Amino acid sequence: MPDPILHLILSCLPTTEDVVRTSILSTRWRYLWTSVSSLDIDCSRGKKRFKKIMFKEFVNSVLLNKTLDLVSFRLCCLNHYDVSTVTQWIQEAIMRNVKSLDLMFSPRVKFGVISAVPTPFYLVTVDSLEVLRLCLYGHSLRASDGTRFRALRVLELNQVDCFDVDLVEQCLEKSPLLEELSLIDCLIKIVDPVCISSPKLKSLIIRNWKNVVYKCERFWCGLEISCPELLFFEYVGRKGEFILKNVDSLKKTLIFPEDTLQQKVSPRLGKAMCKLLAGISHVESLSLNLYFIRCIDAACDPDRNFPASFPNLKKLEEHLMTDYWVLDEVETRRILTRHLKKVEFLEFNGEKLKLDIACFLLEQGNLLEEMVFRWDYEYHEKAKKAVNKMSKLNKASSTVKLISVL
Amino acid sequence: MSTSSSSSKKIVLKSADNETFEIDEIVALESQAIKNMIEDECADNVIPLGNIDSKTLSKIIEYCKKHAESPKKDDNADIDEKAVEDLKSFDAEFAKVDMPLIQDILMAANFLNIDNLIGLMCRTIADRIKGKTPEEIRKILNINKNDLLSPEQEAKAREENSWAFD
Repeated sequence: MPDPILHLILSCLPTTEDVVRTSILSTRWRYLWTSVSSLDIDCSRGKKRFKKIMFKEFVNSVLLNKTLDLVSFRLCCLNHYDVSTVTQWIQEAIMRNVKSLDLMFSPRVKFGVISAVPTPFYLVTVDSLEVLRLCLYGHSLRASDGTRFRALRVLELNQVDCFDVDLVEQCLEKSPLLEELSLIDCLIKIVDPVCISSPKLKSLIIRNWKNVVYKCERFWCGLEISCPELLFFEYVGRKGEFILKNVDSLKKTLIFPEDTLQQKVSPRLGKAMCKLLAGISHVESLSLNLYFIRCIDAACDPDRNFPASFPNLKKLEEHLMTDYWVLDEVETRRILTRHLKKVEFLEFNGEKLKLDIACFLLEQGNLLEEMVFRWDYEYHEKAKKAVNKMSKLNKASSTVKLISVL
Repeated sequence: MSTSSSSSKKIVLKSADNETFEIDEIVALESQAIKNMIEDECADNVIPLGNIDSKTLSKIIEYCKKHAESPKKDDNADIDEKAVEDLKSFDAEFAKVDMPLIQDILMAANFLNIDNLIGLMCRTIADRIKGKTPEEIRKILNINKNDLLSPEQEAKAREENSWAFD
């Protein structure tokens, strides 16, 4: 096989360790690995005991060995190295015009010195960078004034402490071409809502699992979004206020406010959510959880703000975590039947309550085109019976298709 | 092998062992090399492929037919999703062949310049060698015993990147 083909095969190997191991296959393979332009190095991979020096030499070797530009560099080195070592690796990647940088590390700090990762570290003149994913395990990040991410399209901050700095706003300001922003378990300051305003942003994902688990009540106060090109918005985590200012392009939305068991239903949140839904009634796909719906249900005067219709809605997903359901609620009935084209039941187990909902929708939904059941693994027999039963129903829509996914 | 529809323009491919395959032009166009030949009008009625045997060529035609038939990206997004899934499972089935044939297909796809197929075959080979010992990989790739590193060379290579070999 010609060299270019072997290079392609090498670039399909998942880890840099796999790639480097080919260096002993034969004389021909001895240095082929040095042509690979995507690096993926992870200190947590399959070693009985971590060998700090050996890993460091390895990273140095794969970074130094080449003159070729890097397409991507993923490095996970947890808390084994200090900031200056990691900094040096990042700089080497940057000198090779890296396009995608994915770093997971927790800088080791000297006793008594709590230092922020001085960021966007030395990335001052990184015009090549298009994708940046950072997981800092709770460390904070400092943006320096001169930093510009001229080509950055994707930014993900995971477990980054933005507690008392407006890091998110700064990053947005420095990245004029940003299209995707994900904030995963970031601690964000208390006082004002985080303002997400970006001209090109298409996807915004905010997930705060950790905050839910650890009950960090104070760390989330809300969100103000003004993104004219936003297509997808996902929010999971603590309830907070949403202000959607300019989201005319929004097509798909997923909102899961904290849905822990024994969560108190909040009429106040319900009102806010009605208002929120009114602002995004043009979406095509909407995923909500039960807690969300119960809050809307509990809002004292849902009529006023509840959107009369979702003219474009094609897909509504309900994530039913518990046994309650609020179908009796008039407004829910109305949106469910009037415009819905596709309904998808996730983790469907054939229980009566959910079957009733399905039957209700089939009998009432005159625009319904497709109903999908994603069955739990164990319920094959039940699935058959239920679908049989439903196929015999007198359906409001003549074109509806029933689909079972086992 | 011949295709069912008779309205479209046909191309005939001839394998190294002199077997001929009549296919729709649209299927042949999956190959950038053939496409160039047709565009430059230097393709006769019969295109001889002297370095591809009939077994390999029929696999390649099977692949190109499927990919030529499946809807292209710019259609409705919903259809896209299903078509992509369908194509994925076809590719997965397609790649379930033995290593010599994989290599033959890869070399032929390289010659005919069919990017997707080159990628599929490279991914398949990578999947088969990942996590394997050097000895197993040499066997899979059929590496000649005469090309092995000397024990000293191998020790040095291991030493240079001991993390990967530990």
